[in-house]
Amino acid sequence: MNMFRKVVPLRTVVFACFVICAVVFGVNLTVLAKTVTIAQGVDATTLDPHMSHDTPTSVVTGNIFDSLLRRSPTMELEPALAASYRQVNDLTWEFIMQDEITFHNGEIFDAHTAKYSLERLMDPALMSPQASQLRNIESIEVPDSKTLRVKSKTPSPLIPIQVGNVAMLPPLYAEEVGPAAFAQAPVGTGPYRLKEWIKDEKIILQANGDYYRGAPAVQEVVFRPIPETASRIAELRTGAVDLIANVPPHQAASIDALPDLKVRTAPSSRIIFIVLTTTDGGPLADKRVRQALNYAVDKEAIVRALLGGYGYVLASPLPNNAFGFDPTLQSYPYEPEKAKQLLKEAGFQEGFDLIFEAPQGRYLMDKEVAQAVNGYLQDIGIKTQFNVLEWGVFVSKLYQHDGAPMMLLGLGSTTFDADPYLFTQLRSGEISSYYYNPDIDELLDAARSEMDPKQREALYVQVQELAADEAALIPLYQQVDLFGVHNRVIWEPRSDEMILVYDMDVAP
Amino acid sequence: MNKVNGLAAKIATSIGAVILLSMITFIFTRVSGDPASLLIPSDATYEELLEMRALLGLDRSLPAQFLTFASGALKGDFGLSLRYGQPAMELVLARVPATLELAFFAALIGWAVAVPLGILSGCKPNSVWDAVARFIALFGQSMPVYWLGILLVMLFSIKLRLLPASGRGGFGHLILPGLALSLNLMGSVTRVLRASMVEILRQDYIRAARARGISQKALLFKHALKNGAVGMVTVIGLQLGSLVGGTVVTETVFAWPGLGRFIVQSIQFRDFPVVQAGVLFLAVVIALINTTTDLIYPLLDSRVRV
Repeated sequence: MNMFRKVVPLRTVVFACFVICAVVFGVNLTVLAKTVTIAQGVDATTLDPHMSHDTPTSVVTGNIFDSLLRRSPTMELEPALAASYRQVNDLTWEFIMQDEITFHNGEIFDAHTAKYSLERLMDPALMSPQASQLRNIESIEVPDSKTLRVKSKTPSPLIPIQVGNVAMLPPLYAEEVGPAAFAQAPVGTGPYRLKEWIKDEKIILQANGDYYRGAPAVQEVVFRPIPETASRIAELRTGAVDLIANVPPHQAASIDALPDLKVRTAPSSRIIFIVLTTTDGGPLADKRVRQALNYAVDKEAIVRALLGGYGYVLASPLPNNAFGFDPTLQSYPYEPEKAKQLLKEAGFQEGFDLIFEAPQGRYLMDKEVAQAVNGYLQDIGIKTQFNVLEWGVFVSKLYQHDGAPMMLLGLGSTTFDADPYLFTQLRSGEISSYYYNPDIDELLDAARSEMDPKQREALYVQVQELAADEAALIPLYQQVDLFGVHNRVIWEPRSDEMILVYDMDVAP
Repeated sequence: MNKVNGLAAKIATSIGAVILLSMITFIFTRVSGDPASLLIPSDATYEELLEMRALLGLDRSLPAQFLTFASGALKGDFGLSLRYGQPAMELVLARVPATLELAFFAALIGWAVAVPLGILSGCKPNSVWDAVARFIALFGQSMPVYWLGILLVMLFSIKLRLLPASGRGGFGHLILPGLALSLNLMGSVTRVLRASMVEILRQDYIRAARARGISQKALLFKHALKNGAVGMVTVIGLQLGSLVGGTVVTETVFAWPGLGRFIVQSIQFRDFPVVQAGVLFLAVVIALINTTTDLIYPLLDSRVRV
């Protein structure tokens, strides 16, 4: 058997080579310049901010591009590339541009640039998934190179938010290279410019020393896609990554327990609720049945047990950081006896059959939350058929009005306004609305074009009170976003899920 | 003449399988879920949904869509990705090197351990080597890659700080995912090789050779191993195919920017052009591997004809 004796030393040598290579290449080099590495679940799909349809992409482009207005850390709307804005009349808004702002390639930013960017987004040929946010715009004028005038089709208080949110692109460069090339080699006015993008591996951004608000403190940013939560946390622990997004609540304590790491949280704009189909007849058309369902679900227990307490129980389908939120409204308490009583009054003392569907892997703990809700329904005698669907199937059914009578759904919006929440869920005829109430329709339509903020708020409060009394749906909770952060990073999370490295610093 | 016909038939079967598979993929991606619904924002109107469907060409009938796909595919044009807006095949091919790198490294580790171990344990059943081999075979085939990957990361990255936990970069990045991926292969190759060695060494011609006083070394390498190689080539062929196509879990755990993870994400997003391009690419690769395996058999065993 001497032939095997020859093999053994060779294998030892190979193994030794592995170890040496591992030490040489694998160990993380400490970088002298201020660098931050951020891990999200997936890679950006494009670096064209007009084509982004997901948070991880917008998080990256948010560091390369600016828009006319921005959100302060407390989500107040404030000037950015536009120095100021005002309402000229019911339909017209005027934005005054800042002076002397240039793109990374030297192109000058002015009102013409702004007009180009808005019209690019609205152009059907671009197929931008964000085009619908500018659907109310009638025309855009540039009386002089500092002034942008936007006319809307109907009076809308949301115009500054919708226009102010659009990323500004350099017209000459964008037209020269075309959308496909622009998505790979973006040029903006933002605090960072693209250095390198290796797909599904990393995106490296470099500080823009000429940034109009002053050079950023962090010189280099690396975004890494790490799909598996356990792997994201492992990389945070090894120190290869400084900041991770989407920390599940049940992992928060274990991260906080480590000396170098901390979990940071921000109330999210995302809410989770249960859609009740009231437009197809059946038991759910009866208000008492819908109220019974609201009494039957212990939302506090769900937030405590499944979300580790990271969530706010809601009384209406609106997060507490949205304009129009009614803080006085009380959520239906957990009273299963009262629920059974109401079912009896409605003639369903024997319960009834109901299909309940929920997506899996779309929202934090979505399937688990739906299972808990399903359990509560069975407690009051409702015989549910519970289906868990993959998101692509679920959302296709939802939008084609082929959804189940009961569906778990989430909704988020970076407008921080009641309109996108209440209108999409409660206004009849909307793509994901399964509810019809002429009074609510009227109030929502009025609020949409009400210019006086006080009046508008009052209208939304009325909608919420009506929807709560009618039990139009089952509001569950508002999510809290959790980030795992290394202690050397000085940063506060925001409610709009953006990770703005410009507002970040790194301890030496 | 007969040989050429046989080969032509094999290749024709492979091409047929690839075409059939691309048709199945085309139909299955379309019957569940609508990419337009995944692209539009939650406050879009129904008209905007229809508009998006029209822009993506999804409002046309299935046969019409398939014709467009098939005629484009023949010219090498698989359309633009719905998610990335880039040519689908380009996106797929860009992920191939990472997957091949991982697959070949895993295969290398796997075979480097499994081949000597399988032979050794097959020659000496019930020895210590045999116990080791059987343990590796059982462990490799029953340990989920996901769990093994996380254990490796906990030990080598978090505890010992020797190797990076995820991502692609230098050689160091390759070791943990390669190791995790190789274990399953190690298990099955060891088992097959051991079994075929035990089987062969029981054959009459081996006993006859032994009776003629041929040395153990010559017996093993000249007679037994050559026959055992047939089974091994089958396993290696099958394993290579599954290594290239089936690295999804490893790529996910180790954030490896490869093809498997990319195709799964594209399926979740109903990115039809990418799924079609990806599946077709994998189908062609696996068909090539299988055909090559078939071609190698007759070189090893003259009883086998192509």
